[in-house]
Amino acid sequence: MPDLIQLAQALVNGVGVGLVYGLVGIGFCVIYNASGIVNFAQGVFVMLGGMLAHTLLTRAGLPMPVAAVLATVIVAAIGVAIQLLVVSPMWQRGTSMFAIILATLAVQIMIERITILSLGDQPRTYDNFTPGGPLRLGPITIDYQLFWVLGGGALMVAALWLFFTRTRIGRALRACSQNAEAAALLGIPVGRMLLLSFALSAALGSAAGILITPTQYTAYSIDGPFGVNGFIAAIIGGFGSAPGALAGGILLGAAQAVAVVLFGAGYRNVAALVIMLLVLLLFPSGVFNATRSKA
Amino acid sequence: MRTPEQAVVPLLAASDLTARYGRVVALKGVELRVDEGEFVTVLGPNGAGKTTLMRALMRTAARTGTIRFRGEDVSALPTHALARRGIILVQEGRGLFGQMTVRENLDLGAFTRPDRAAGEQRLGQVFALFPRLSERLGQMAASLSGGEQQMLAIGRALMAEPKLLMLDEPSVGLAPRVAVEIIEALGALNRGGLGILLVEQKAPLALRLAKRAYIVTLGRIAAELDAASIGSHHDLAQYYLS
Amino acid sequence: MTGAQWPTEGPNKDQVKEMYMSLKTTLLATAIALAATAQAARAEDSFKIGSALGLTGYAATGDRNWRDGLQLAADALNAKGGILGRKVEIIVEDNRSQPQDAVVAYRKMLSSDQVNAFDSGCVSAGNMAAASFVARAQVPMLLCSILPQKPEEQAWAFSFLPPPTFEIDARYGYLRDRTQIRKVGLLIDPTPYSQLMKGFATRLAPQYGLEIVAEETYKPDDSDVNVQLGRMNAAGAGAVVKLGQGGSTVTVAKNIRQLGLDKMVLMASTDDGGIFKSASEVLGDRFYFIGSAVQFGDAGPSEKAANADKSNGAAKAAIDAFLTPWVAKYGDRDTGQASRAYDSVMLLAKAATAANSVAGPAIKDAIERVGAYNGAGAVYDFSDKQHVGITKNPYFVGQFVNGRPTVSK
Ligand SMILES: Nc1ncnc2c1ncn2[C@@H]1O[C@H](COP(=O)(O)OP(=O)(O)O)[C@@H](O)[C@H]1O
Ligand SMILES: [Mg+2]
Repeated sequence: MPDLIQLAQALVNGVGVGLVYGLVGIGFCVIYNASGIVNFAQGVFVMLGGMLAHTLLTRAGLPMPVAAVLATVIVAAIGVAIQLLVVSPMWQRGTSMFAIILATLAVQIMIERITILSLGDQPRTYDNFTPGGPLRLGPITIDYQLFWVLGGGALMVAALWLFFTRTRIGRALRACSQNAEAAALLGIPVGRMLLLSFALSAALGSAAGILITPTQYTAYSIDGPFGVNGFIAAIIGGFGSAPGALAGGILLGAAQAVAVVLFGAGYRNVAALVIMLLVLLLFPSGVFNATRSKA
Repeated sequence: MRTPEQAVVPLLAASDLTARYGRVVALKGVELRVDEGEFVTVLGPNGAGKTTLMRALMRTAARTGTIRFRGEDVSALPTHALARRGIILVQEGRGLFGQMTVRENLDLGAFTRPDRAAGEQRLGQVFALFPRLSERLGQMAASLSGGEQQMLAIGRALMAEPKLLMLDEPSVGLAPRVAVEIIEALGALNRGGLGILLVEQKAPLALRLAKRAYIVTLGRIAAELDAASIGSHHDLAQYYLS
Repeated sequence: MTGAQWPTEGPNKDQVKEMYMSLKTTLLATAIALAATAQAARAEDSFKIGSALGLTGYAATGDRNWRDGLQLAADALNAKGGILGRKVEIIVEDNRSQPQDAVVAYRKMLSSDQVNAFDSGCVSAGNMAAASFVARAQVPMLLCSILPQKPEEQAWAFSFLPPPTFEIDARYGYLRDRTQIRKVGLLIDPTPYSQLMKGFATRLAPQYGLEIVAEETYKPDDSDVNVQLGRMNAAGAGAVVKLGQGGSTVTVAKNIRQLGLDKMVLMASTDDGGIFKSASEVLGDRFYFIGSAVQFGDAGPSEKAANADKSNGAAKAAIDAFLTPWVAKYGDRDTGQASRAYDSVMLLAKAATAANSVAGPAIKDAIERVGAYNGAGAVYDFSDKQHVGITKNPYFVGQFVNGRPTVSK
């Protein structure tokens, strides 16, 4: 039955994209937990990761691993700059959360413009990390890059988990997210932790962008879709829970793929919005609330 | 001529401490001192400004005035730097990290003191003081009983190697027996040489151990009682009626 | 969690204040400089061409090229004394690819700049929204987009866009003449232009002996089109004819490869050369695009174009006149839209010169009398009955060979 094969094929690809949404969703959570800020510039990090990696690959001629690491470091630095130049001054003046969130939207637009001016407005892409493929399992094909996305994603999630539970700084970051005042009273520099949370979620977005670019294209404008889908993934997971966001992203990617098979391409976004509304109505604190552990 | 007592540099000395919430002045011109190894208590009715005083000292509330710690002017330091100096506040309501384990809370107490060996040693001391904590290490802080939570809050503060331990109404909501247990633990710490500044509403409990008391009403220090006048419940009652 | 209760680190307040102050000063200086430029622009003896462009938003790539094509032509004209002795001045307003902003932009250029003519970008909805009052003001509007709908508006509008059917003809013709592929899948985006093409694509297929075995839709920012491609493959389609522009073309190419569809070819819509290059890096010789002669540059079919037009090298001369300064200034940036923008200004100049007038009605009549005009991007043939200038198919099917766009044999 061809429909089942289509469904399976769509699910395979949907899970890959969904994992990337999940990583972006975790990025939302990391900053939100540390500060209460919803950083709408989150999608920008995905875009910058892909764009910078491409630039370093093609213009500077660097090998992929070097380009990927360098791009991620640069994007993390951009995350830090956003916090220092935009968020922190507003935060210190006691600006309302709403205004700060709007400011992150403005930052997104500004970075898009700067990207157009410096790197151009052309879509671009680069090769899979491993040549060859796809892997054929009967009628279903799996692109080699999907293994990189899944493997890289799993590695990052595991590293994050270790960081948040096993390291002194990671625990301090979680402490800030649960009770920032108490954390400060124990000598944890909350402002610096906020800076770190921006660096971390920028690096995460960048790595996601670098992994996913070979399966599609990147351009200054892709931040919107990734930002929105990452945001929805975070909401499904109960905004604040990193494992929830990851699961939310995978669920979202899979649901979108199924919606396209069953109802058509126009239903990809409809599916996303329906899921988000259902979650908000039925599980206001997230679908995965039961297993929630803050990070 | 200076008396010998004045020549000693106080552990903590605040002068002209003023704090506002918006336009409301919650604390006005407070002078306060804690000497090395001293046990001082701050008493006052609900809403008097005791918590505000603690937050002003730790700069978690906006404030003006001068604060010296062991002679160093620390007025301009941020909260976390004050903690690093050794001024540790156990907040009203305990301020635990509820979704983290007892062990994680204790470890976070030692954030500014990363020396492993010293940390293990302090942990031993905390367990000696509050043996129940050692049985609850893997449990979420939020799942502890009220008394255990307060023990954890104090234990966590001790992990930070405080020079001055400040506590904001630690006995609130506790069974009398547990409250006494906690206050006695503070007494033991003080006998070990730790300076303590204890905020309480209930005078009798605090006055058992304190050498000096400040009475706060309406955001001001209404009176300072020394060891001699402490115990005269007569004196205290008048402030509580205001 | 409330944030602002305790001081955090970061730049101290004075530093931040300083930054804001210097930013303010810079903005002020920029504003003064801009005001000064605007003042200079009021000089009475210039020939003003107003252009409403989507410099940001979805039309940005194309409309930036349109703007630079306009400016290249203006510079070339000014080097030779301008139009009727007047300096040619291009006034650009960003409509952010939004019709509402386009209306504001047009009104501003009409009333405060008092432009002699409009020459606007590809945001068709914006141009249509402004067409009624531009027509009432009797100012000719040359357009990158399709014509507005009402006859009285069309009277003042001239379209430099190749009719959509040419895109279809070029690709179908290639499939019929050069390949064995007879079963085709259409991949369509929801824009009005693509929907329009879809009508032609389904109607024309039988005439070329082709069968449409699948019609699938996608959204320009979809992360993949795997499902659609899977269905096309299942239906036996040998070629994907894509009706719609943008980076999605690269995604389609990627997906064809990821799904291991080793026989399937992709034929893209007219678009920017950069996109074609990226897609061809993915699919190699299974990626086809269409472009006008000028887009093939040196490797292009200008000889062939000249022969086809039977105009004895006039086409090649026109292409060179545009391409030489363009390449000098912009390197290998795409020429598809820019060449037609260039042509539109040159044709406008020719009309104004013939009319010996800078008045709107005179220029409009003159454009209708220019007759067949060999431009860099196409041959145009406006008349009082024909306001869509391109009447001969300017497209060739091409592929990238050794990284260069080359006409497919
Ligand atoms: N966050 C706040 N905003 C405004 N007013 C406050 C705030 N916190 C305390 N207050 C006011 O300041 C005064 C002192 O409060 P507090 O220091 O909490 O008293 P206490 O700890 O002695 O009960 C009270 O009148 C209280 O209403
Ligand atoms: Mg209080």
